Amino acid sequence: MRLAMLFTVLTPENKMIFESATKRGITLERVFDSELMMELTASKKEYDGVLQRSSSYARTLYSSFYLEQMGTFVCNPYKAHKLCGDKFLASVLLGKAGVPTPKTFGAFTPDAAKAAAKKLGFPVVMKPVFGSWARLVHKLNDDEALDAELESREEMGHAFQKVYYLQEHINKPGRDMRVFVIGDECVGAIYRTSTEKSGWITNTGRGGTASNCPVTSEIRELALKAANVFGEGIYGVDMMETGDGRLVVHEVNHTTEFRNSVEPTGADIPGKMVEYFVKRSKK
Amino acid sequence: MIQGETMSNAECPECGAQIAQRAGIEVGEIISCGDCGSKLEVKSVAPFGLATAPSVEEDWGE
Repeated sequence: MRLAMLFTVLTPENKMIFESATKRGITLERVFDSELMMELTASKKEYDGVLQRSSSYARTLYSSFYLEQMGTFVCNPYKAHKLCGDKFLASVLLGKAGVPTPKTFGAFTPDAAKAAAKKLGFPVVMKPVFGSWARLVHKLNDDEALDAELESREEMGHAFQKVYYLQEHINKPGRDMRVFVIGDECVGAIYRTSTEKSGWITNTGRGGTASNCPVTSEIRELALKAANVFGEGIYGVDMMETGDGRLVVHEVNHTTEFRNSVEPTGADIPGKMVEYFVKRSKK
Repeated sequence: MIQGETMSNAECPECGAQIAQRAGIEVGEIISCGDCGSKLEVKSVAPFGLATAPSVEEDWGE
């Protein structure tokens, strides 16, 4: 069986995955997405399984689609990347599946976005439909801030930045949770706590800190339900505690990072990822 | 190889500083130049070679 991991740069996560594979006697070939040259019109299967870890959403989508069409098992599958990586699509599916999630509107014009904000009430959270690490995720406290945001997007944004995604602001207790789901197992969770550096944002890439979050049955069930919306795979499910004690899922990550999570959780996240990937590639 | 042992040096493509190769470093890893702070990608380990790291694009993430 020929297995590979596809990636852009050797991030700490990717290095941990390779180390975990080596420890288990598994050969995982290294494929840089920058070196891919795909003959689109020829049918050619090189790998039985590819663990998709590209940093780029565009490269993830195209390479996953290509590889799947060639008969390779891709983890996560193309569909999962497509649906999770677009916040608009993901919110539609989470809502339809009955997963508790913040109230969210989509709109295509500034006027429609303003009407959505009025429905939600300030503050509202505006996010780009594509993007990660809380980039361009803004809390807008009033009409003035919303107008500035909309004008910037209209003047400087590309077509997808003019797809407005407005979300109810959840007054979370200075933290949210990242829950790791691998296949049908919830392997661990962290609290991501905001800091002076990260401001209201909790993302660890922006200065938020990671600590162990005990996985309660409520967290487990909600994380599995949210992950299941996008099909079996490997996910980082982000959820928040609301002021009235509920949990809401605000994002499901399809190429989840975990560099800050192995130590606090004590969970062998990369090892479990490798084992799951190999098991699924054999099917 | 003992952890921390220096193997060879490579030149920072941005500022020309000499950067020591850390044991265990692998192709594709991103390091910072201690002098100019540039992000650099390890392109080879024998010999140790560095290039300016790819920019973080708008669609990068998880």
